[in-house]
Amino acid sequence: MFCRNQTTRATIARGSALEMEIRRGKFRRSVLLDTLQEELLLSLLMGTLITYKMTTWNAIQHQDSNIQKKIDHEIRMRDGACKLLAACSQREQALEASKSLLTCNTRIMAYMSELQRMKEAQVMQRVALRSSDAGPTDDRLPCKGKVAISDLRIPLMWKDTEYFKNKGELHRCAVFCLLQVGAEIHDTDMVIVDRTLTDICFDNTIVFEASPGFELRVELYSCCSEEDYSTGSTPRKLASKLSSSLGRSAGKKLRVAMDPGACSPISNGGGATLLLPLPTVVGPKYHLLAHTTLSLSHVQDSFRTHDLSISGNEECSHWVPLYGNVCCRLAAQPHCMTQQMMSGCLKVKQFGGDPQSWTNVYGVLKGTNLFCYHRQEDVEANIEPAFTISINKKTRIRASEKDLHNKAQSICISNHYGGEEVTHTLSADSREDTHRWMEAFWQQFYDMSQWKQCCDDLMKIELPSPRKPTLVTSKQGSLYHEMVIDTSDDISTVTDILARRMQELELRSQLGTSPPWMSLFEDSPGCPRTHNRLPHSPLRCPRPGLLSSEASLTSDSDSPCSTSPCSRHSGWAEPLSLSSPSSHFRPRTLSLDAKLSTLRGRGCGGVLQCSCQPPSSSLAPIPAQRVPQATLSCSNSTSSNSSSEGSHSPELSDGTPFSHPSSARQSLRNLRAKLDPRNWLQSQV
Amino acid sequence: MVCAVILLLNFGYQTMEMPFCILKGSSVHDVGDSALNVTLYQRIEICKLRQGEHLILGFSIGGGIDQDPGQNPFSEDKSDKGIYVTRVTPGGPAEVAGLMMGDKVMQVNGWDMTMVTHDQARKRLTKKNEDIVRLLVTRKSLEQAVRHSMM
Repeated sequence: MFCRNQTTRATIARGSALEMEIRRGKFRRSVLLDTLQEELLLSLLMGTLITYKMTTWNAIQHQDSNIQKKIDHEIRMRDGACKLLAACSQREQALEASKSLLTCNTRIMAYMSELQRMKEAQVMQRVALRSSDAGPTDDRLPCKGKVAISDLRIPLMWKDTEYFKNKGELHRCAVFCLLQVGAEIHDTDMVIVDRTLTDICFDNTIVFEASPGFELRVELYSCCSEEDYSTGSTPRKLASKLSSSLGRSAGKKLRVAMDPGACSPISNGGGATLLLPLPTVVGPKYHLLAHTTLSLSHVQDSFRTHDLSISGNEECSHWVPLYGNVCCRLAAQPHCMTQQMMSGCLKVKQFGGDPQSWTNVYGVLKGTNLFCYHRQEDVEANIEPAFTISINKKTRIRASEKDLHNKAQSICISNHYGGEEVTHTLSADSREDTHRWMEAFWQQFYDMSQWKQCCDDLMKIELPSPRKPTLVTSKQGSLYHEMVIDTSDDISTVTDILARRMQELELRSQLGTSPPWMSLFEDSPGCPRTHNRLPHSPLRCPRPGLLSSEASLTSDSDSPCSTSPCSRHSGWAEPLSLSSPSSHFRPRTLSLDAKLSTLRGRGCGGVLQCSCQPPSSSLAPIPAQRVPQATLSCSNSTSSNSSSEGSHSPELSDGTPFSHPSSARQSLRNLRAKLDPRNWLQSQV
Repeated sequence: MVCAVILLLNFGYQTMEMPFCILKGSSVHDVGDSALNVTLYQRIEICKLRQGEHLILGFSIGGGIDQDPGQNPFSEDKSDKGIYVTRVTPGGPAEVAGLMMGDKVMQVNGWDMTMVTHDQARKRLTKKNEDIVRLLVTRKSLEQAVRHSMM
């Protein structure tokens, strides 16, 4: 009896031996063949004509080309990694390149296997379509979900002998983990392990897209990071596969295919991907140290410890003494918990209520709840739903055929809240809608049964955030704290500094922040201002104390100023430090520090050199004026350098006049000043 | 010594033949938005001055969203993280154009300056391909002046 229930091709006689064979799945592993060859062989076996559907072929090609692209990409990456490995000289680089190489190889193999599986599935599908049976009723597929593994930690168990042997050098190994779900492979960062570490920690969070039956394979690779990189041969596994795959003939392939045990990841069919022979790899080689496989039963919202199967022993160079466990957090977020599975307009009535009291709601099925909003717009507006019906494992849903008042089917949802049973009755607008809602509910139940504990509560998955650049931390009271002049180091900027400092002081006093002992200076005789350079800021108020310092600024212009900044510091610092609780200035360099201390000894009052003169290394004899006060001020200025800068820490440093710091130091100062939160930066434009 | 230097400086500014000559400082008083808060702005156009290989404007700015606003001596509201003019070089292009110390810079050539970091602000002012910057500034004294005139 032939059963023609498909519009296509040939049919297979029911009860024929071939059908039996197909059902037993003996043809599953025929994918090594070229697809065309496959077809011919199958037709020979079946003895029937098979119509070749070009459209199906195209569909297959499209799926294949996707994987093909990935394979090509990985091959290119691998070539790049090989080149890098050959070119790099530093150990760290070589280790990283070798890690990339291993990852690429593994990915290529995984994609090949995937390609093979897809072809198998296509063949099976085609065969199944041709058979009289439509096959089993379409299986409901569970929804996919995000599976995240994070905070991997592998404890180590160093023996005490480790500490006593090799006292000179530290035996170090580079390790990393390879995580694989299906064809998705991710690697963690590389960590260097030596006997000072008690655990190997991988900070990465890796998220996969998987179905509930996933298998997450965790592999730990290690490589000794000390010995010379000998010319390593290609990985044995790959080489053997190469040789075995390239040598097959069609007949052999078929025979092997019939054998359910055979599986080779490399296929010569489809897109004719011939695996290029690997170049011999020179450089550090990683070896598998341990592995384990995790699945849905290991998923939990918290950390769990799993066993590791360790391969290798103490004699290997790449050995790292593992305790035997791995701790990690494996979380899963099925899509049914995070996405809206179904939404639409509904009428809801609570059981036991007034038969006519139907409420029009917009229902959204998500996770373990059916949210009922007043209007559809509320969903986007994040307004609280009118009410929520929970849909969980204990909920019972049934479709009632006839409702007394409605012709259409309605759905009854019963839950147990507390001790009592609450039933809601839903009614959709049309029969199709009701059917779709039922379908959605069934799918939801199925997903929940498949994802098991993941559907009890939504597990949090933190997506890995982009790496933040490590900030240069500025030291407290650093000598290099101030900004340097970015713009041209010319005279005008220097005088601008002087002018600005004047203004700042005036400003501060204007704002009323002058401390009480400023009055000390008000008594000192004001000296006539000898030059008009210093700016007349609109906020300026005459300060006799300042005038005196200005005067002294202009005097003594002849004496060489080797210690101009410090003297200026001290000079300015004199009125300023005594006039403000915190000094603005910090000595810039250690030599400056030294100079200051000598100055302290000599007394550094009142001599304010013009800072425009280039410094000389010898200390200028500085006439001592107001010695006791000077010493006080000097010590003030030096001791208070760690205190806060106050409101006007200038960006322009005084570094220019006395030395020409290198641009690197300048930029470092820039950076440190910029990052110091106590600064209120000013930039000259 | 200092005098000599200053003289040189003045000399320098005055003998510069280049863009410094065109200095416009138009005072257009724009009245801001709501009836309750009348903010007065002044538009200031500054021509950059070429000094060697640098184009300078002749003022300094302070502030920014990455700075501590409490240390700003010019702001009324100590949580204001805007860009303020902290210093105006006398005789420089900014002073001639009418910029004053304590002004808050709201816009530069159309770019907003109320929500920028310090470095962003500096960059917007020091673009090498721009010879003129048009600032929109505000200051307390403007408001007071108008208020006084209205009373």
